[in-house]
Amino acid sequence: MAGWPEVSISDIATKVGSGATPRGGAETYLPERVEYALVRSQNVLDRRFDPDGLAYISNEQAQVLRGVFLQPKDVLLNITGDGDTFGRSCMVPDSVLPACVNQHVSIVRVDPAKADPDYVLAYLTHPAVKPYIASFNSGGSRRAVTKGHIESFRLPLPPLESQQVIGRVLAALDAKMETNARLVQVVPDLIRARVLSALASEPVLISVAKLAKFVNGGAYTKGATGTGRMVVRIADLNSGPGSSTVYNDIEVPDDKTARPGDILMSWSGSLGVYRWVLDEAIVNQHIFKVLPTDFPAWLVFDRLDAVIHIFQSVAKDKATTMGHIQRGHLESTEVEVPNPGQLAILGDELGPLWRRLLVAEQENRRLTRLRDALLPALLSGQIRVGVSEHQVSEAIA
Amino acid sequence: MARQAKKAQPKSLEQRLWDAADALRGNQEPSEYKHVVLGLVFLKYISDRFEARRKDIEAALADPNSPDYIPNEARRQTFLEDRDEYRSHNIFWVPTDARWESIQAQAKLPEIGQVIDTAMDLIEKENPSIRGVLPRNYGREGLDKGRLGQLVDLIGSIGFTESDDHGSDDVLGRVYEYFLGQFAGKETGKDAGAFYTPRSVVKTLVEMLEPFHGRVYDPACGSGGMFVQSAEFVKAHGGKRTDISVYGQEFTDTTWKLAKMNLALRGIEADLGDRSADSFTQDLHPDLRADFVIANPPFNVSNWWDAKLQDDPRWKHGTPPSSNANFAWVQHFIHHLSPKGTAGFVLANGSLASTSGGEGEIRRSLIECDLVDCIVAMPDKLFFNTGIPVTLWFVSKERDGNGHRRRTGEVLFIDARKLGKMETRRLRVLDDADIAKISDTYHAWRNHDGGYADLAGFAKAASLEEIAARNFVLTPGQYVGVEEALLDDEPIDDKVNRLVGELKDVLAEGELLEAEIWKNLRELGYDV
Repeated sequence: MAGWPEVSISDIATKVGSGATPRGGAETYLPERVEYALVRSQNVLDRRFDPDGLAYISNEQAQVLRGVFLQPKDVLLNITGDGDTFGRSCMVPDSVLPACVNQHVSIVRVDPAKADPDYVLAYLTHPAVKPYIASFNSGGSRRAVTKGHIESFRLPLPPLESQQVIGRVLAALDAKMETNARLVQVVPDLIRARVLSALASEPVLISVAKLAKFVNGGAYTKGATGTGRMVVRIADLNSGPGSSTVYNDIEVPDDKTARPGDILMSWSGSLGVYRWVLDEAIVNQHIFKVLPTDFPAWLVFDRLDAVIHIFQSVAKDKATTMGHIQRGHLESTEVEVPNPGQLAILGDELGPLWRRLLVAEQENRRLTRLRDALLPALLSGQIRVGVSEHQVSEAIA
Repeated sequence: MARQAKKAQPKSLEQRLWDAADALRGNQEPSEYKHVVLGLVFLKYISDRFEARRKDIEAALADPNSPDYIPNEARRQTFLEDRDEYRSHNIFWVPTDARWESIQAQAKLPEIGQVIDTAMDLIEKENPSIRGVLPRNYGREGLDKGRLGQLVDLIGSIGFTESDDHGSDDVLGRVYEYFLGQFAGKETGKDAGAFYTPRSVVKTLVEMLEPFHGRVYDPACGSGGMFVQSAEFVKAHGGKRTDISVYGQEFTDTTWKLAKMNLALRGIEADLGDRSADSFTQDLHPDLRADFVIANPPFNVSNWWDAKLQDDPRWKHGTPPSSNANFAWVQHFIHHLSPKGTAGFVLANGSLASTSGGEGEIRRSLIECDLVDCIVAMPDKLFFNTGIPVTLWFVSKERDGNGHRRRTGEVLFIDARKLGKMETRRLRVLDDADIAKISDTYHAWRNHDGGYADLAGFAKAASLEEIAARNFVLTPGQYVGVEEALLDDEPIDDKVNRLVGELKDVLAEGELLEAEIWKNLRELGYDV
């Protein structure tokens, strides 16, 4: 890559290895943490640890996995799975410890005297490296690589100081994205809590249909050109764009166009309320674009989110293959909103917060792009990292 | 919710000192540097105390109206040098070359390291009670002498307040304690900060136990935080420091020394044994029967067993498994309780339900012998070195009544997992109101006419039958049930406050990271 010497993972790692699923499988997982968590491949995303669905096991079960207790700065690598999960790699966050891994996740424990763990993570998440990892695949429809394969991966190794700079640059971008993601989680919770406390005094009851204007999307997937803007379908809302996502060059009316910050609501299949965060796109049928009229966007989103479970159960009772609701249900379902006096006070407070949340979502897209551009350039030596002794002395307040 | 922006809190003296001391750390590991800093704080403290006493004697000798008046100037001098005049007031004798003034004067010399080492030697020679306790090696190659000199200046700047019953210890004592906590947070690795139990936990134990007077024992005493807090408690309730006598033991040698200094700083006389030692194999207080045991032993120690512990009299309720010392600690505590004593301690949650290695039988025996008094499930992230949630256990020999209500056959369960606020991303703290909520509940249940009532989702007094029906599992969440609330279990104002706090943290953290990203990009040569 840049005239740096190549080494094998086995030269720089003190441990490579995966664990097992405790006897009895998922049935035996505990409802909450007693002590040990069990990290599974669903928790390991590319450069991000997702604590959602983290499993917890008893101390007896953990003892069996003693050999794969995680330590700070362990790099995790998914070693099995389909195209999605396979080969994903991230750093273990301290917050998940103490924990062990199951048989689908391998630990790569880097000797910090020889290499920088964040640098090794950068290498494992380099876009060109995933196919390289997959090339070790021992066949079959389900991909898998072994401990021996991992140990034989070859990677370029710049001087330790350069590795640390590369690792630090990328880790800082990841961490900022992580705080943005937390902001995106906390703001709706805070809005909900503030709205509920306002509803304690003289709330106003309105029909959901009065919350906003609900515009249905169109049948835009037919004859799609494969280029142009994305056509948003329910699957795209739930799991993001993928290989089956449709693109179409057609022109559509403005109220069937989704732009970052717009509120969308799917009204069939899995009903949900969403904020659109990606580039401008076309709204397909079965999805409402929700246009705020008399109420601010943050309240529309919160109130829809508060009643969506009612619509979900309506759709479930339909007992057709594809449950859905009708416009009449928007009319017949009522929702509480704060009275105008309360709303004015809340607006000053929550409007900026909502906008800050949208900024965080947009920021994350840009940070992702920046990181994806920097990572290969740093690893190839295209961007030289000047290594000098930085003495940062804290000014004393 | 306040809508105007809050003014930034001005930094406290401790914070400012810490920032400055940390800035001088240079290439030293926090785990090493703490001995450098804390040793100097201690030196400054005993020197200040000495000088203050000296001034008092001088004033008394020269005052014609004082009973100690001595007209002869030369005779006065000999009294000033009389060590008993200091020792009788519990003050260390500090030789001339070890006095802070003399060290301060040499702060800028390249041999300042040796100067401090010599001072430590001199003090230990004169004062047998702290022999072998003070840190040395200030003269070592790797310690930058310019920085060390600046550190001496910094610690020399710590003022002198006459704010409590014995002179200047207050500020320096608080500084020492604050530094311990900060160092605990700075260390990295599995045993990071193991010498320090966070204040949230110590204070909860102390407030619940109420160690007013009698013998207090901590066989895993770390840097002595339990004793300091117990003494504070006694003082806050109008007692004297001498109302409690303190016994402790600590396994890690450097930590034992930190504890000796910490207690000397606070004027707490304690028997910590003559050395550091393992409480299981070398019990330094074999005959002690304490009124209060209060401890935060290391969690889940797996290599504690020693062949000579077979058939040890302490294992009355069953031999603990060699793979986990938790129930060895519990039985060690019980062994050292007086017939009316109560123990309060921290355990990892595994011990509430574990059945491996005979732990289930031991727990059952403790319950059936009517020893288990109260179990408190604590929130997670209270410790520097581990995020795991822990439990406070209270084990008592006075449940059939000893100034308190007869509680035979019932156990109080408290589920405090929702209390506390995140102080940093990794550390949660309980404030005084949180702690009062827990301890008031316990006291209401324990005291005569305390007016205790079960509170769904928080507290439940369960009978032995109920506990037996759950196979002697002691997880509070299984007993206290679910809080009755319309939407969720958190009062809405609390919820808003909590979320505002989280928002504040996230935004502040985001700002720091932004600054770091810009700095990184500039270093890579981008014009930002």
